[in-house]
Amino acid sequence: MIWNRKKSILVTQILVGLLAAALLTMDIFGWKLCGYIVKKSLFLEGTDNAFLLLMMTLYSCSAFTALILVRMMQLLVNLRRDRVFVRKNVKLLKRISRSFLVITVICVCSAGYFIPSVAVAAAAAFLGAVVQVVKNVFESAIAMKDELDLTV
Amino acid sequence: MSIRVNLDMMMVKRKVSAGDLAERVGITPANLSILKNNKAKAVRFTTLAALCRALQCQPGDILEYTDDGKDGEE
Repeated sequence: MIWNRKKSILVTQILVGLLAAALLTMDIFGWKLCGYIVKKSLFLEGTDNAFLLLMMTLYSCSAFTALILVRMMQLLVNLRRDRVFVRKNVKLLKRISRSFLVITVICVCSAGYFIPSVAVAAAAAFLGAVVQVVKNVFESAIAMKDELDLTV
Repeated sequence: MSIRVNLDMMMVKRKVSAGDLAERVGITPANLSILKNNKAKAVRFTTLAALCRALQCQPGDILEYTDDGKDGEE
């Protein structure tokens, strides 16, 4: 099998699809997951409404994760159509970065009652920073491409 | 400060149309239009040489430096 860029994008699209399926599964069984965590976690002992708080955190983060996955898929569709260094992709990357930032804030807030959320917050912050850097790279590339396109 | 491309004058002097000039220089009419309308960010020396050859002129005849307060670099 000859490997090429389009196949690589297709594999990434399949991966994003699998992540979306995993997210949907987690959303369906989220209440069970929260119940299990509340039962087993030492961090939540003595916390009032622990189950409700955990559900709120989980589903709010899930909503923004879904947004991230949708935008990633839009980005991949653009890449497949050879629309790489276009302003639309910069906007998508900016929105992905902002979604990670929101998840970071939600998890930092939930650290007030569930300390392990800090680890998720740190991971989300790191990923948001990586996407922000990629967005900056795309912006620079677009400026260079515009310059090249207007070079006669 | 910016560089202006004054092709129109030379084209009228040499009685060359835009389509003809684009063909002689080896660029598309769209790119020639970009040059004529001062939208170009850069010109290759090969293109400049081809323009001078086609219009039988010197680079200074078609390029003009103006200090209009606009910086070319962003």
